[in-house]
Amino acid sequence: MRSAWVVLKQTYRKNVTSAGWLSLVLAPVICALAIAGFAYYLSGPSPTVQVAVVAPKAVAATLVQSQTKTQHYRRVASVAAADKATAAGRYDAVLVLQKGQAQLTQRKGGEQVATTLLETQLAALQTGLAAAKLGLSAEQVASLTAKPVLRVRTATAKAGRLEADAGDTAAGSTVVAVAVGFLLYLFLMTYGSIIAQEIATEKGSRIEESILAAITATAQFMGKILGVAALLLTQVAVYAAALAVAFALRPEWWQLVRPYLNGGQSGVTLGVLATAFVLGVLQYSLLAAGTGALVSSVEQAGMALMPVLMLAMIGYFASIMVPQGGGTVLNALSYIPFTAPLVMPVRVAAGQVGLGAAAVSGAINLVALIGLFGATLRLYRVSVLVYDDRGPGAALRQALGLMRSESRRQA
Amino acid sequence: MLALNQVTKRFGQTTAVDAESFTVAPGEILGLIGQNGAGKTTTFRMILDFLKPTTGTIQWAGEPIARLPRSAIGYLPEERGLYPKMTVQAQVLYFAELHGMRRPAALAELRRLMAAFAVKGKPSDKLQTLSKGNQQKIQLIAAIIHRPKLLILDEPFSGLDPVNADLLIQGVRALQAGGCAIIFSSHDMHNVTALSDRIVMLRNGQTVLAGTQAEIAAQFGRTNLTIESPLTQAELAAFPGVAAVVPQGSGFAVTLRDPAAGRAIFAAATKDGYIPRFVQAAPSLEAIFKLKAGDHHA
Repeated sequence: MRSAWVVLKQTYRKNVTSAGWLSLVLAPVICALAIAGFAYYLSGPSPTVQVAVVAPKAVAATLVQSQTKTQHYRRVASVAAADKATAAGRYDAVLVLQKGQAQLTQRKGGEQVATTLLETQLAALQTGLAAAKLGLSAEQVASLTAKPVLRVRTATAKAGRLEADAGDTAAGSTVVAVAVGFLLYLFLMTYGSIIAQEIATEKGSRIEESILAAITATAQFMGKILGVAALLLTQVAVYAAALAVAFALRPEWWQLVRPYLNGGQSGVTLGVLATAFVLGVLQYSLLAAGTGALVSSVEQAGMALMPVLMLAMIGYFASIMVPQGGGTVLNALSYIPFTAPLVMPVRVAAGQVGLGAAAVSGAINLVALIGLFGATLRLYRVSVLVYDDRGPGAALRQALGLMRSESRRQA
Repeated sequence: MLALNQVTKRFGQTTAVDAESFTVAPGEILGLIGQNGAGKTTTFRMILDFLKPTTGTIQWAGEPIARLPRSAIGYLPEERGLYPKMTVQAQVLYFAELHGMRRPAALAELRRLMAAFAVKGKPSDKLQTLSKGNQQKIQLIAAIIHRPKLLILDEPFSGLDPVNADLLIQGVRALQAGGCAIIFSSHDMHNVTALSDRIVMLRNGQTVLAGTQAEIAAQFGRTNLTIESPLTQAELAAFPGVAAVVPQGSGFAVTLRDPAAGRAIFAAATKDGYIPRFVQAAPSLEAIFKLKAGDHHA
């Protein structure tokens, strides 16, 4: 393990200080900061709109009481005086309330009156005046104007009946699951490429022989996988820290996110997501490492990795389709290794399957992971020093032949 | 001691190495020579446990070679490979750590070896900024920095000028003095002659020569004669047992079919007294190499 640790450190150190990795990690943070800064600039302190109100005293007083920080009302005695003051720039608009009619004159070049807000305030004013005329009490007015409350819930059709989904957060959980699935897909593409290129570079530049003279192929394999996993965890930690800082500075953003994380369904989804994330990253890392060992140069690594990325893409697109409904194909993909880590969490979040199905899928994928580890390690050991310019396919055939002859020799 | 016993390696129908046997004791240098494709690199890979022999055994101190800790092995591959954009220090220390050394000790040893091998460059230089010869020295340093017990050098002299080749020989001798068992391959027979205690020659995977230089030379007899005397080329060629006479400098190089012919030539050349040069010796290693390699084509 000591030598695997040395390889892990080297892999981690080499990449974490590289411009490529740093830009990969910081780009989303910088983009988010830029967007936040831009939004902050746009939502900066709005100027207060000043409106001159020409109306009976009582009416004007009621309106003045309902003014907001951004929209002020002041009674002016006459239309002429209001027009004169507005023309002089003291007001941005003139509101004339007479005989149940409202007329708003907006000064060109002045601050814009929020007419929707004004309409709401005038409607409330109108209601109050009408209630007063009819001699209604405040409670009677409230019961006249009360809106009915409409509650919405989703249900899944099971065995001929509808079963309500837990809480109102099913849709929110699905959003979170799809979002994390997207992140998982991005990580798989990025770190799969890193692993494959790491191995292909050492193989292509013939450093591999010097390394394997010092340590076993197993130790190098483990060190590479763990080193890249450490990079991934570092990236996740950077984002977690950035989010924590953002939520600390802007508690209102946390309030926006929090509803999606409430409820038992979300807890189950998060647990399934975390497990699927780990399984998925490990599965694809092993696959990418095996791919890197088959190529003879770093230039071939991208081409060799394409089938792996296509596999991830199938899983990702399947996960997007889950909220639209289940089906045999999606059902199968949520159990099959490589696609299950992307599809099953979304199915759980959407309430299509429960924890039992997720556990079965997890068990299948864990067994597949163990088998994949052994197979990839054997492939790595026999092919990491084999060079075949005919391409990864020919290298794979040659490696399989070597594995068979090694097995016969051991037998 | 490294011991190969009847080691054979087959790849499908091809026999890369056939019943190869030799030993390399601590403090001994074995030169493994042969044409391209003779089986030298395959032999090294089996010693390094990259490949398993089809039959036969490879042992170190009586135990299977796989049990020898990697920290006890140093290897300089034929295909040079280092991280071009990494500094000299970073990558040599990396290899040293892989071999079990601690960084402070490795750093001190790196500086000492860079001075010993007269490397033109600093530890902080990126490898790609060094010349090919200096890169070669750095790779050699990476192979020996941990003071291995068994050192394998595959074509260590390639890319080195004569001065640097001498520095390499000195470095290898120092390791030999420390008890390291060393096996190397080279196409440069001059360096093989200068360095090897014993030699093994492979041809198509088979061992065609084995032994000390003296033992090998004795197999061929003293058939090379260099002479400066009053005898003419025609007179020399007329002696029985003479295969060829070629002018060489102010004398002749005579190839003898029969080493005994040298006596008659000596007697004739010296009948009037002093002659400046008469050397009768076994063929050079290069000549033997060509002879043995050419046997296959004869």
